[in-house]
Amino acid sequence: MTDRKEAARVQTSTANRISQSPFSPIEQFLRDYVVARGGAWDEIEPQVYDVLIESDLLQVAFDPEALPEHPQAQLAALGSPLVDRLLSDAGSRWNSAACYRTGVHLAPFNLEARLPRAIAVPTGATIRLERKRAMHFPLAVFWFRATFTSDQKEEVVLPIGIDLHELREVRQLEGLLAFDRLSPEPDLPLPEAPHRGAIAGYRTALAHTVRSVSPIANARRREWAGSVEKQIARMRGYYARLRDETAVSPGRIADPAAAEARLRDRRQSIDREEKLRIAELQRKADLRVEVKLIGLLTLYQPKLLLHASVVPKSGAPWPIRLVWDPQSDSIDAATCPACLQPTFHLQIGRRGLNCLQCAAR
Amino acid sequence: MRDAQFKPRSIEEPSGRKISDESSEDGGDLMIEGDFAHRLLADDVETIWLQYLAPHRYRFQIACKPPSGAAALDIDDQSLIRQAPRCDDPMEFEVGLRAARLSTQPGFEELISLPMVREMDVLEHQTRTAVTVLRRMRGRAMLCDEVGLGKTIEAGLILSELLVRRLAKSVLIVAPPSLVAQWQGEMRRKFGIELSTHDDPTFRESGGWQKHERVIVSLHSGKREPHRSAILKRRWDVVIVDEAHHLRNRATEAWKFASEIEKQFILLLTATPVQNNLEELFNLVTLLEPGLLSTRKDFTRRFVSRGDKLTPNNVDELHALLAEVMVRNRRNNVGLQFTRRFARTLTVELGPDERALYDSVASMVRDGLSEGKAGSHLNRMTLLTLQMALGSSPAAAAAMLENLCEKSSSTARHTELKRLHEAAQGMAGGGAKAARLLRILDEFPDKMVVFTQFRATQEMLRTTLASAGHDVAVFHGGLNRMEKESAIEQFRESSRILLCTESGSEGRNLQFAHGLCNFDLPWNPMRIEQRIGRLSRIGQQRDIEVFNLVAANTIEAAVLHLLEAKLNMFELVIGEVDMILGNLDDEKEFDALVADEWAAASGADEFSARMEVLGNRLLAAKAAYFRQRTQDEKIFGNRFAPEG
Repeated sequence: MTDRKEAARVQTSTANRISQSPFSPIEQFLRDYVVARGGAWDEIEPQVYDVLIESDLLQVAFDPEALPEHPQAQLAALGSPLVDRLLSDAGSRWNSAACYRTGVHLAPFNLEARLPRAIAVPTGATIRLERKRAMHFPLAVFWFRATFTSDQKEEVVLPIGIDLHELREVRQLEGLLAFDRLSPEPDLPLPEAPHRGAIAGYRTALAHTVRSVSPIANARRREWAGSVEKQIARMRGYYARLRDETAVSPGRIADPAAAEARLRDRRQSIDREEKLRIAELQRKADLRVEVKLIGLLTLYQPKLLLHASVVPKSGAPWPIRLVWDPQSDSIDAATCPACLQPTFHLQIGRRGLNCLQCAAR
Repeated sequence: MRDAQFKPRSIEEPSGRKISDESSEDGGDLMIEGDFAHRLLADDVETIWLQYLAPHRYRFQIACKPPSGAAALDIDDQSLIRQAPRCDDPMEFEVGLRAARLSTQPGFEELISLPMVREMDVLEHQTRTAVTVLRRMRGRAMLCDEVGLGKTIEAGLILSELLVRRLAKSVLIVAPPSLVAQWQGEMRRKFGIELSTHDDPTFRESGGWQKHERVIVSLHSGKREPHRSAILKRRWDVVIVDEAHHLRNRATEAWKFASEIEKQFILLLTATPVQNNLEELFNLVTLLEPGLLSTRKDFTRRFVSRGDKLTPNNVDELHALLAEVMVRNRRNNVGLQFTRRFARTLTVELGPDERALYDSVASMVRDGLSEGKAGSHLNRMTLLTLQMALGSSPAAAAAMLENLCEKSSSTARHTELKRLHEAAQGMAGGGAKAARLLRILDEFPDKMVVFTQFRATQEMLRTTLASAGHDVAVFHGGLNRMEKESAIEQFRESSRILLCTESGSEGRNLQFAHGLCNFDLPWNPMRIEQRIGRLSRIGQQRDIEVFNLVAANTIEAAVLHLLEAKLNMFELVIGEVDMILGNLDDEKEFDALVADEWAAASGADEFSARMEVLGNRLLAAKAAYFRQRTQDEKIFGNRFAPEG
């Protein structure tokens, strides 16, 4: 297993170097996919590959012009059965992972002095660092795919990171997701910080995502529905006028009964066409939105759990837990025990140490 | 909790109210009663945990499920979350994530099928058109670009995008009979879309109209039974009608047929939506969106001038309505400025032997053609190809004559063919045109592409030019992909001359050269234009120099005379030749018309007279085209460019 991984890593780094050259994203994906599956590829000529995955040997061409010379090759292009199959396989095979962030510096400078500057406490009170403990704090990054489908189809991938310890959204994901600084093994054997679990994280993430997606969907729906309503109204008017024009047209048939029958046929035909055309339009206007989880990365980040006390002018000190994040080199906001919202301002109220709003209630 | 160090002595509710001050020393159960106990057992509770406050002091915290209806837990999502991580290697996960991203389809502002387009450079106005039609017009549009700007490419892009995104599955393309094969070829080569036709041998066996999802049919066949009923019986996701001006008349079967097709997306392609009166425009638009221009009576009242059916009233209002379904790119607003072309005709007098060969073979071909199908042992296609080969070079004629000689069953014919073959073979090493080409190469100092229709001519030229010390690259349809790339690269880098057959050269960028020699002339001007199009394209910095080599008193000379004197072909822009030929009102291709005249003429003089008549038809067609252009300018002006 280790050997395979090592070989894969070597070939991946080779592929990465090659990616400086103009491979299409699909071609680069195929190379990396094969390596990740523990297989091998051989570029027999530009854009034509022999590929071995497990015991399956196949030939793949990225250029349709190569097919006549390589009749056994399968065409690899977006939308082709082969690429669809590989993308689908990769998407389901590697859709969740757990790993550790490495190379983290856990010795902040002068934390004691920075604490009072980070967290505001009631006038006359002081905040004091009692002790600190390095732990692995889990962060779940959820990738949701939102699909908007009508007669158009648009998909967006929305990543969102949730700190599972505090159950709040994490900003600046890009810095955390440098894959070369993620590892299956931790640098240090640290204990896992208490957390609320992936399901709770998922609900928070989904709620945030739905909040982002809803306005887009509503805007799309409004924009298109408005236009379709206009078209439908115009079409109804058109068919109504056609019916009127048919009614006033005297025709050339002498027999009144035959003329009446012809008029009836004509009207029925207009009715049928109206129904058909309006149904076509309505089908086009029906917007469906789906939000689906397509990837989950649980990332364990080494951080410091700070045990601190807020010491009032009089009375017993109030314990409080805080977290120092090496990524931002700052102390995270505290969580108000009453409303569970983040806050940098603590106040002592009737129910203990709370955020300003809860303390004032 | 049983560890003394963590033993809770004080546990609070989330509100801060104490539940117990001291848990029992024996580590027994914590009893919770009253309202808080009920709260803990409520259905909406998802997670309960103890928050550490201070040594031995804890507080209960509760996380609740979201209210019903909001953010329901999807069953697939749930299994993804609850399963153990599928991989522990971040790089593998990254590949999985990339796969998910690659299979994600962005909005139409990004055309995801674009990287799959082959054999051509997609131009900016073409992508803009595709985006406009897909986004704003929701796939129902009339593409009315000026000639030569690539309406077929735009339609192919739109179709390709709908197929790749799986927004469409079934496709019906309706085209004039003469363009069916061209559409099939272009869609296959450029977009990887295979289209069936109802006359494919396997079409009916494999389910016919009800089973085939991507079909091309001529308007002529489509509107007639049994195809008409079969087409109308089902629903089509995409319908494309090329040369949609054939649907300008509402009273025709063609219009009624197009109107009755059930379709979701429809594209009408025509450079001339109006020819005789504005009602034609109304008829076309009504196919796309009934009611957009109201009823015919209402349209005429609001938008057509009394006394002049081609002059619009309320132009702004009409344009505003048309802009909902119409795109019209014009040369002057797409920034597509091709460099000029300068054509020189170099007429070569054949030597006595070559002349004699030409006359003998031409006479044999004409006799064969006039004998007709029943009397001739050679079919029309073979005879015409022989005539064209003869016009190319003795080498090409020799190769064909040898072939015919081997197949000939009649002794007298065999003897005649053998004699002609031997004569041609004796001159196969060169000829008057080859000698003239060498002189052209001396006069023209830059890179030159020399086109021929025949491999035998190409081989003869390769030998002749190499013997004269020229560095020559050779390109033809028989090369494989890498050899083709290599030939073009050789021409780009070191060779001064590229000997090229038309086959396979489409889509190759040759615009680094600006000299072109038609060593032989196809009888169809469209093919000549395609040759010039290899060099005269985006990226060409210099004017194109075209050298047309023809032997005096040959069919090619007569064709070239027609194209130059009557059509002014080399002064027209790309696409205009097609429009003018379309105005000839003839079902036949131009080369077939020339062949007919040749076959029908008893001799050179009569052939000249007949070509003169054909030339006059060309003149009339050209005049009609220019009238049409002026009229389009008046009706449409500069509106209807795509957004972006």
